[in-house]
Amino acid sequence: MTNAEKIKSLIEVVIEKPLTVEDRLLDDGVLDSLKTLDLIYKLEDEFDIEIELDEVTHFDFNSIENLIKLIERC
Amino acid sequence: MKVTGFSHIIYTVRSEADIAGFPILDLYDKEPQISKLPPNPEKTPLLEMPDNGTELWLFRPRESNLPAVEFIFSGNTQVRQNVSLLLATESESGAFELAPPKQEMFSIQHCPWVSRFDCSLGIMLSTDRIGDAHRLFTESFRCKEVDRIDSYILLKTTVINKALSGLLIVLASGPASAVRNDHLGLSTLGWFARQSSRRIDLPDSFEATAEFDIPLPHANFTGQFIYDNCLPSLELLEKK
Repeated sequence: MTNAEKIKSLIEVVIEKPLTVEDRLLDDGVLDSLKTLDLIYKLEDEFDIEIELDEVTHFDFNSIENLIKLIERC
Repeated sequence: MKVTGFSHIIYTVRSEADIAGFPILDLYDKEPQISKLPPNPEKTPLLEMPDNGTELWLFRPRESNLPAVEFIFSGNTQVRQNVSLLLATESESGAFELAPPKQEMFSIQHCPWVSRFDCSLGIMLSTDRIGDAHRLFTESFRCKEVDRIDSYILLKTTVINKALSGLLIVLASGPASAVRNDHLGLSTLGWFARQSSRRIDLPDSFEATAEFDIPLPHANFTGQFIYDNCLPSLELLEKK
């Protein structure tokens, strides 16, 4: 499974339904504050990373493509 | 517990009528989510009056770049005077100095530093223990020091909202004060946290309550207060 597939799968667990888009996750309300929190924890556990929120922005969480880049730099 | 990010601010007020006076209430949903929590013995060290249970009104922001705001009711009449909410304003040329917080339920100041450091909101905390406060926020709560201007220490953290917006925390030296959570005004700063092998080390002047359950309609949390009864308390929320 690629990182993109893993992230998509984690998001679907968080939002409890199939993901139909891969970008504008925050802008279009796919992720709200509590779902973003859940996703942070799932990403940390799945990829064994620690996400320092001071180092991330809205841009990083707004698309799967940007989340892949975030994971790679954590 | 490991702090993840900023969650919400809590004001202690006397009544529903006070909430209507919150100056930026129009930036929040009109209908609050109202919850009632039973009396909690873990809160006793933070309160002046007995805990008869808490009714809390949670307002979610209409704009994605603000933290949620929660109001809890108290029969106390004491108003705190060591905290101000800082609202963004256009950058001003020349020197800028914050005024000391006013003894008002909603002490608010406009401050160019908020937008200068890419934040949407700020909080000014005045304390006679600025060293301990600095250690608490930077070491225990993972805030980043972004500047020192005159005698102020400027810290930044991230709000877990749809914008992952910045929150500026300005520490200022001020007179000693003794406050409790049931004193009126900005009484608590809420943070998301999760279990971790890493223990939160606290400066000597701060204490932690035992963990307790917070059952809310949309999610259940484990809560814990960090407090010194001088600054607003800090509430850690772990989503179950």
